[in-house]
Amino acid sequence: MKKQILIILGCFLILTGCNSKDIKDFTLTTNSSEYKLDNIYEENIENPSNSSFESENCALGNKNIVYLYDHYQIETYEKDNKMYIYSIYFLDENIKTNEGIKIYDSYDSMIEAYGEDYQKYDNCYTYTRNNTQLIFILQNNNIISIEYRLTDV
Amino acid sequence: MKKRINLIIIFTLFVLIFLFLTKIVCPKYATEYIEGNMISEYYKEQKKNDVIFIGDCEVYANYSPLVMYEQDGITSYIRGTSQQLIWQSYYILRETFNYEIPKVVVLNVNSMRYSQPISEAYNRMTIDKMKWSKEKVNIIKSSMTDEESFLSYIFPILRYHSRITELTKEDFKYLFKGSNNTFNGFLINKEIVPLSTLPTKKTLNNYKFDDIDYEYLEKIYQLCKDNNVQLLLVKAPSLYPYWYEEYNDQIVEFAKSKDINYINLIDNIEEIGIDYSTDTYDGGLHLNLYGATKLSEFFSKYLKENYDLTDYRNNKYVDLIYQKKLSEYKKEIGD
Repeated sequence: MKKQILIILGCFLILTGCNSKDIKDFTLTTNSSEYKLDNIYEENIENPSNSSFESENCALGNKNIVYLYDHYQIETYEKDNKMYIYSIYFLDENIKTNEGIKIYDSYDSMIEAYGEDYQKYDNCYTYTRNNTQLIFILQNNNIISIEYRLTDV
Repeated sequence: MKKRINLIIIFTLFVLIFLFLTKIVCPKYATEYIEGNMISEYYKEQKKNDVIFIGDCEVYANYSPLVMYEQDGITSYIRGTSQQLIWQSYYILRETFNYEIPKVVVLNVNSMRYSQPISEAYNRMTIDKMKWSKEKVNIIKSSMTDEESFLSYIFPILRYHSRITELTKEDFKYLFKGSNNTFNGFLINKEIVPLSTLPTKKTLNNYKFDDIDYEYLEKIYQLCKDNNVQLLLVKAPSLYPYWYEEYNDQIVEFAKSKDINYINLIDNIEEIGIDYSTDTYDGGLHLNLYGATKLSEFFSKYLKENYDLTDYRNNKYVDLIYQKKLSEYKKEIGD
């Protein structure tokens, strides 16, 4: 009986463990804020953006706003009159991903932090979790670009 | 016999009702999303243009054919649509050549950065109001997104039937007549939204234009060559989205290989006299009326100096048409 219960429990754990919904999206945590892709962008009063750039899609009128911070920029799109985050782009080496990777780190440190389950296109390495992506561009074995991005907007 | 007549009457009635319903539910693009009507305004025009502009919003927002006529007597028309893709430019140009053969085609190369259809909304605004032709069939086939069907372009009622409960006055007012929102394809915008800041330029993994873009650029070049038309490539002076150096180099290379002209107007912003604190309606993406006027004056001079164009101000018939347009234009811009 014990053996049967263990088998059932084991199966349950395997099945729930394989559920893609349990894979956590990529998020970025800075000193003052936690940013989640496809969530509503809210300006942090303690750490407001330096400036923003607003543009509209040609003819259709949907708004896009890019919020500029010292070390990163956040791109948002409009849905139901609210701005949702679809990209976070690192501007320099003074900001790290939640797993500790920053611009100018090496390929090896990227692999150490995120493993080898990436899609590669030229020098671009894309890690995907659900509908979020973390994209690294490398040059001479060093990371020159880091971007969190939604798979589709 | 009577039965047959009845059948014919019923069938005719059915067709008429079907056509009416189709017409009423289709968007009119008269007061909202007016860019969707631009493609059809051309059909009503007197087609005697020496210059045809082709491309996306960077043509219809930035060049004023009437300024060019007034300054140098150049006749031109802008066949621009929102987010016009390079293969759409090709088929629209083919269609244009069915009506007239200009001396110069000005192609805005911004679309080279896109290699796949962007959205149904843009497709519809470019294609819906095109007249049926071989070119329209091809533009549909080459532009459809996965969610779209060819049948819905033939029978738009399949796409727009749900609008039957959302009809507005515009749908009745413009049921049989289209609206005119442009001046030779130029869409006037008098708003001023100064440039304040621009996002940081992102590093891209790949700057190379896609094969499909080159395929259609080559087709456009060949089409012009076959019709003895000079092709001029331009990049409008829009500051965003960024026109990367790597993009520019590829167009320079293409133009050189074909021995045609390419002018990147971003390099001429100072010479043109564009002031992004007053000459743009959206912070540097598009020029407003004041910026477009400056650019058109500059560009008209460039065309006159580099191409053998007729000064139609000496042609009474053409000048009469243009004087009428100019008077309406000046009224519109409040000059």
